[in-house]
Amino acid sequence: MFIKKILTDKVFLLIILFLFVGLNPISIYGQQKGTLRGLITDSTNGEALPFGNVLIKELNIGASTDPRGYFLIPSIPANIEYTLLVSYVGYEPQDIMVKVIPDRITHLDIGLTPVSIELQTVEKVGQKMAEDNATDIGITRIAVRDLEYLPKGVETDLFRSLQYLPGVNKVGDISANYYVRGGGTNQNLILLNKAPIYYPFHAFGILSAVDPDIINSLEFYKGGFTAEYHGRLSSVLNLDTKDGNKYDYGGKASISFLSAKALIEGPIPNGSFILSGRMSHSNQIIKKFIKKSAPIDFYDFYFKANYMNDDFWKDAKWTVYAFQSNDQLANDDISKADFRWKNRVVGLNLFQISDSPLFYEISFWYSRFVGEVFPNKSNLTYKKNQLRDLSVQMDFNYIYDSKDELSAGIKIMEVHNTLLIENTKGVISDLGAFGTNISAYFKYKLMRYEYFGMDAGTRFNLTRLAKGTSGKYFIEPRIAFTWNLSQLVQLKGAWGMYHQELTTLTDENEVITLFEPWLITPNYLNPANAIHYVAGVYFNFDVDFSLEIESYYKDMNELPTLNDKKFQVDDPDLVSAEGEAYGAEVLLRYTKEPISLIGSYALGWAYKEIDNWLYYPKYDTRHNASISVEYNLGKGWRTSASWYFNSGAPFTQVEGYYDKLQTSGRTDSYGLFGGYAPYTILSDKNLGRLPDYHRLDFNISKSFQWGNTKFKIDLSILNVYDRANIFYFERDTGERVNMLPFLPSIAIAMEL
Amino acid sequence: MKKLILFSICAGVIFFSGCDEAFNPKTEHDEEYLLTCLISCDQNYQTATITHTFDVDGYDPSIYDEDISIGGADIMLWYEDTVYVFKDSTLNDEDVTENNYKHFYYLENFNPEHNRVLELEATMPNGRKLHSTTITPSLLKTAINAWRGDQLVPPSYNDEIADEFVFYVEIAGDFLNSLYLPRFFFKYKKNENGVVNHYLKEVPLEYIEKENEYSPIYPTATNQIKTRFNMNAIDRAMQEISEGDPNKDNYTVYGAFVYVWVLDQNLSAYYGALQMKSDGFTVRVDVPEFSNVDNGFGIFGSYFEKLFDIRVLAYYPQSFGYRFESPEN
Repeated sequence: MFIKKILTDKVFLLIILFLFVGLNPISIYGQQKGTLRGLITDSTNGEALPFGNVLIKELNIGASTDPRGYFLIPSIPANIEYTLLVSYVGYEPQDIMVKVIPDRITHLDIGLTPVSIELQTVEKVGQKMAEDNATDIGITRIAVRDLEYLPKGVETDLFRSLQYLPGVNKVGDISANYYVRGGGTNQNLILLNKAPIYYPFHAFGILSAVDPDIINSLEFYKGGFTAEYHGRLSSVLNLDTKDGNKYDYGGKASISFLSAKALIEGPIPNGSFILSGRMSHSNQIIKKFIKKSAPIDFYDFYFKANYMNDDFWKDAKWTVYAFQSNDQLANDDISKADFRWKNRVVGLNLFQISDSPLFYEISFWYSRFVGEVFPNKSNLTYKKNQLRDLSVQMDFNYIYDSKDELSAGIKIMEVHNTLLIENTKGVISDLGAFGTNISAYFKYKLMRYEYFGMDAGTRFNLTRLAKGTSGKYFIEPRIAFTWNLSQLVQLKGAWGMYHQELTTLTDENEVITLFEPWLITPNYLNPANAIHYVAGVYFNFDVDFSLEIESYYKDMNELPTLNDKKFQVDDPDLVSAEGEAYGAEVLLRYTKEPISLIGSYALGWAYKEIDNWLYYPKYDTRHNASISVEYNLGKGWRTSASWYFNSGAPFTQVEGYYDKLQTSGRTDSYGLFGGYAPYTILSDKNLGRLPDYHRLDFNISKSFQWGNTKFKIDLSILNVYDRANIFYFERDTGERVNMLPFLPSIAIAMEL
Repeated sequence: MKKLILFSICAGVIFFSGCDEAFNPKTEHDEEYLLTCLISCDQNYQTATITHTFDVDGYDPSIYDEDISIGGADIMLWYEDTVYVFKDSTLNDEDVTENNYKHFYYLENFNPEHNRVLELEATMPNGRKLHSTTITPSLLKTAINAWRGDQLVPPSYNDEIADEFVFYVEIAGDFLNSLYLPRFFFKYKKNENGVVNHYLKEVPLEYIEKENEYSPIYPTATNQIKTRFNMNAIDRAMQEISEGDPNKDNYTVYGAFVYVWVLDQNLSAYYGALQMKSDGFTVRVDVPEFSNVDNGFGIFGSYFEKLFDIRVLAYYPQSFGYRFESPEN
């Protein structure tokens, strides 16, 4: 088995080497050529516009901007004047005449002007042509402005918007957390400017802790992600934040039923800054979600500043940022426990472009998660979880004249983990550990062929985080390809191996969880690992109309799972489980002003096996479907409706009762056990199915300007037809506890 | 298009608002059997019960009023090289109450030593066998207020009253997986219209005061070496003996003791699972359940008890207006 693995790895490396050495060394030019590089920004504030499109009309070649707003088109015949078409949704397209200098990089700074509130009927140009061979299976890219008009829970939420994608299952109305293609919530990597955030949720997970107002772009990988990402088995959510207005000072404030927030931004010498803060002002609405009052308060803030000065460091962009979220559930009753959890991220990035088609980026960050339970005089015990992640990462990206790209990087990650926990017998132990992971990756992106693209690479993990595992390296080869059968049809596929060394002590039997600690997978277990197989066919009927069909198979092994048969102190806290998930997904998009329609359907199966016992995990829902319709009514009015459906989730049924010997009450004189009481017998785990879930949400908003101030009033109605979706049932009483009822909410935003 | 979207939404609302399906969280009940047998290492009389599972319409199992005990089973216990057979006892219907079953099994003159293997097998009238083993708990090493050198109430050291009474326990052998439960009592008697009745007052670890109401927190089974009883709790318990009664003179405190149960590994695991704690917000839809009975479920465990007398200084109950009587009298 081991030899087979080594052989597989070596064969894979040879392929990569062949691609690197064999395909790139020499370019023989028939004529002089040059490279066109550009940065597309919003002309009003200098903010980068990610995932925009450029097209050289005469050559019919193009590119998309990356999350930083940059694009690069190599190997363009020089000294000829071309028309560059630049487009971005919500902005006026530009035609720019450009002439490329031979053997040099010609750089363009392009500012696009947003269309006015009343118009906003701009057609996208050239998107289909931009990167037909991009190896982007399983990736969803979302501009935050696209989320603003979707129905909201209480306020716009980045993570909840993902729940409309096929293959993404919601945890329930209560939570913005999500399951991806049969993986647990702890298998999702959430990155903010490359730094991971370990628990980015407020108030039981009702709201994500990342304020969408600070986000510039969002990339979401449902699987088959390439070698630059590591550390999770299922998905990657990559959030890039705004830089702040480079030209003028501005501000924004808004209030909803749950929180109030404010943002200021503006120029600084050779750069800009952005500062935002949000805090809860009422927890009345929380009662609608969790069915009981919870004295919970939260806040989050974000700061970012960037600096670009060629006199200091040519062609470099320095960025420093800080993020903090804090939640506190503080009872005024000392017989009840208090809870606190917080995240803190501090980071520094250096992004460097050069006179050659090389980009590199160096990132440092410190990300810390703390969760604590203060028992006060309750019958709980003190618990504390702390995870400190101090990392440095270097990424290099070189684009050849052939358009092929070579990427490489190295990451050193040091994790300090504390988990103080007291078990049912009153024993406090620290399950935490300290470890260092050093990993490196390289990948080669074959982009030279118009009808074929491939991204092949591997990641080497040279050390493991768990103690006592020196010498146990592991390799994660990955490959993705796109093959254009015609202008209409694309085939895409991906395969990859993934490992995860950080996990949470997630209790699968809990539907509401307050303490979900992180820890390094202990050395008595191997790191969790998965293999993804993804294949898809994409139909691009028109610039505005596409259909994506993807299927996947995910094989997961060594999944650390809470040992719910831990009855003795020396029983392990975690046991190893196996998992398997497969399914197919369909995504239909139609976007032609004034209508935007997205429909999705997913058919999936998920299994988990512990001790040869196979069961359906609670996120195994067979059918998921959603439809979102957005309509621009004009004059600042927009409306949208979203409908979501999933077939019933698994649950454990009640089989009967027995009389169980109970511990003594304090009414008798003294005794150890106090007699028998009826006790519920549960059937085999998760063999029952809850009723189907479905919900219709509606939103209408009005944007208008008064003087220099823009206003937006937003009315959302959740669960329009008041569907009684079951959340769980109380097994002792048979009482059915439902999720959100009909719930209207209003939010008001003001922007200077 | 506007009309089409509007129509689709309205049609969807009407269609889906009408569907509310029946949902039954119960599944078919298959009868199973439960064996319960706790062996005391201090007593000669041991009991065991076998019951069957049951189901009811709805979710209130207390409405089931039939006797669920099973008689006519053969229960054998292996200890060292000897087999002991439990006797079947059937109560008359009028003797059956909510707290006992019609059928139970008993064993007389059986008193196992510490740290010995016990094996139990029950053969039911239908031939089905339930089987389990356990090991009796190890010896107890106990000292009270050991490092302070006295065993007093109020706890004192160098003539100064300490702020807590510390009970110190160590179990020989497998201390890690064995629990013990200490309970602290005052013995007192009360003259009620010329009749003297004897009572026990349990002392909690501490009290929580909320709006002038005091809620006691009692010890739970633990394997921690020390159990600490707060001095304020001892005062409060002493006060509660006569709370609301102005005639303090009717009360006589005549001693105190700590009673300790030591559980074997299986009984500790069973007890630990029963003590699962809730934070009031976390919602669990399943709970771990411990059973060490093969081919059925239930608990076969053993325990022993030990009583430690605590000396009460006369002035202490007298300071509450009570009489004091030395236990030696």
